[in-house]
Amino acid sequence: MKKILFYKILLIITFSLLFFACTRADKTGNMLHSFKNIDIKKFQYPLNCKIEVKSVIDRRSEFERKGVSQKKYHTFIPLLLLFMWTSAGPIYTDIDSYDYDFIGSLDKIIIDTIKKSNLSSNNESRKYVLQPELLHFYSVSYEKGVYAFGAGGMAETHNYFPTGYVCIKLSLFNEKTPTQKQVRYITNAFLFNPSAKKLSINHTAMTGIVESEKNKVAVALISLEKALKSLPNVVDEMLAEEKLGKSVGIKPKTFMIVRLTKEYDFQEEMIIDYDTGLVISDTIVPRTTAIISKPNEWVVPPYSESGHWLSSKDYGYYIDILKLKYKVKYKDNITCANFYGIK
Amino acid sequence: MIIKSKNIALFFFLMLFILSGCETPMMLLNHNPEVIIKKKLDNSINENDFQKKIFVLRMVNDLSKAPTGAYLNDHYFFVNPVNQTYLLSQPGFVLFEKIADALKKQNAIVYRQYNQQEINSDLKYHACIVTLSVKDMEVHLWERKKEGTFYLAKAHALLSIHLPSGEHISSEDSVSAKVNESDDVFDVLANKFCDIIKTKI
Repeated sequence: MKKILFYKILLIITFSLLFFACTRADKTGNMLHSFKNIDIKKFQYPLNCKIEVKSVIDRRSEFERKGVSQKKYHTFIPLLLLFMWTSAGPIYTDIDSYDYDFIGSLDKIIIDTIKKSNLSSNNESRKYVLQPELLHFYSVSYEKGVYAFGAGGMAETHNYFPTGYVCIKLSLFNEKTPTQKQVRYITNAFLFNPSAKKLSINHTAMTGIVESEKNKVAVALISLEKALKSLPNVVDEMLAEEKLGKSVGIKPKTFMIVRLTKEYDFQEEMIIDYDTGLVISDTIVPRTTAIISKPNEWVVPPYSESGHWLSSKDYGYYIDILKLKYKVKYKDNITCANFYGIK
Repeated sequence: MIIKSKNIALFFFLMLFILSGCETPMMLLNHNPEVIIKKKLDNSINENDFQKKIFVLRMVNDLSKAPTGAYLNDHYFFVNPVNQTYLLSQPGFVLFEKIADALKKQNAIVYRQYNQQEINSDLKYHACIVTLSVKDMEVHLWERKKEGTFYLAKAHALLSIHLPSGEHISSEDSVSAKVNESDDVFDVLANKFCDIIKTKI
């Protein structure tokens, strides 16, 4: 009898340890290390300036930083069986699930992203300071369950698809004129999508704590990854009027027109041969640049073949060159010109 | 025996009181559809006449938080918290386009601007420059047994208006709407912003 009790206790301890190890598995690692491999679009040549990235200021609210969640709500009804309904949410993911030194890791990632994009050179004479501020970073989810207890028992729980959200405020200023700041925000929201990489519908269907936790962490990281991919383009746009790149001087061999998709997440990019008007390529890519038009509107984007954002003067010149052969005109969008085909 | 069962019943009801008295769950962070659901269904649109006034409608930020909305129903014992969240990637931009369309319908000449670059002096001194910064938005789809399916939406935005006279007006405004499934809730929100613009210029 004592032996059986001993084995039972041993079994409980073993399972408890296994469960603890599994739930901690994702929390002990550095979840942001995978960001080293994210695919950042490179500019053809760097701008003639240096960008110094300051450490990220954490401005998240307390519930985001500590992962404080709404407590569960229980309702008991004592019938023949004891019924219990529970609902909980919003449940914020424990911040340690992402990274123990989240802000430190984010600092490194932002510096890496700027370096990888080939955005700036090391020209100390024209130095700009980039101050990122993290306003939001979270994954949020909801739970609902029904339990019935009697001689036996049954339980049915639902973990709803989690959503990830990130919002980073970027302030850029010239070291010599620190009061003249330019401010932009990069935001991204991502709803759990079973077809996305790193996520699986089975994970949620299984309702296992570990798998469900994995999905919650993953959606927030996907949001952050998407936001970081747009970071170099946003900084580049902030520097457009500073005349740090090459000016548009000669007629281009090719030019690009873009059309935003209905969901704002993707854009169709068409590269056209300037002389012949033939379409060289037509691709739909995730949008990493700022929104410049309404969906389904073909426009000439204000960035050159090198990928750099053009100053308003250069863009005007670029449009004038295109107007020689193509129907390009400003309609009611003053950020960029609409494209209507060959003249 | 009777005393015992009475005690058990009392115990269960005591449990019921204690446990159901726990915190009521929030539906969504900053997004509590209960506030909007009290509104009456209304898709009416005021027909303002802007008399060919020129507007530059400038979008600065879309800071609407996720999740944008929730699909809710109260078919069961109590309202499901979030049955299925659905997300619009850039609800602030959708609203921005709808405001531009609404202004045009109300006899205004509208130019859209998606960045903060300087605009040419012609427009600068002849147009009302309306800068929109969406602070937060929420959109919900709710199914009710009695009322059927309808949309609930709320938008909170910072409006900054620069008049040709040089006067500068800025305010934070919130608008909300509740419409049938067949109506576009963004149209109603956009028209409410047009009403606000009309009162300020």
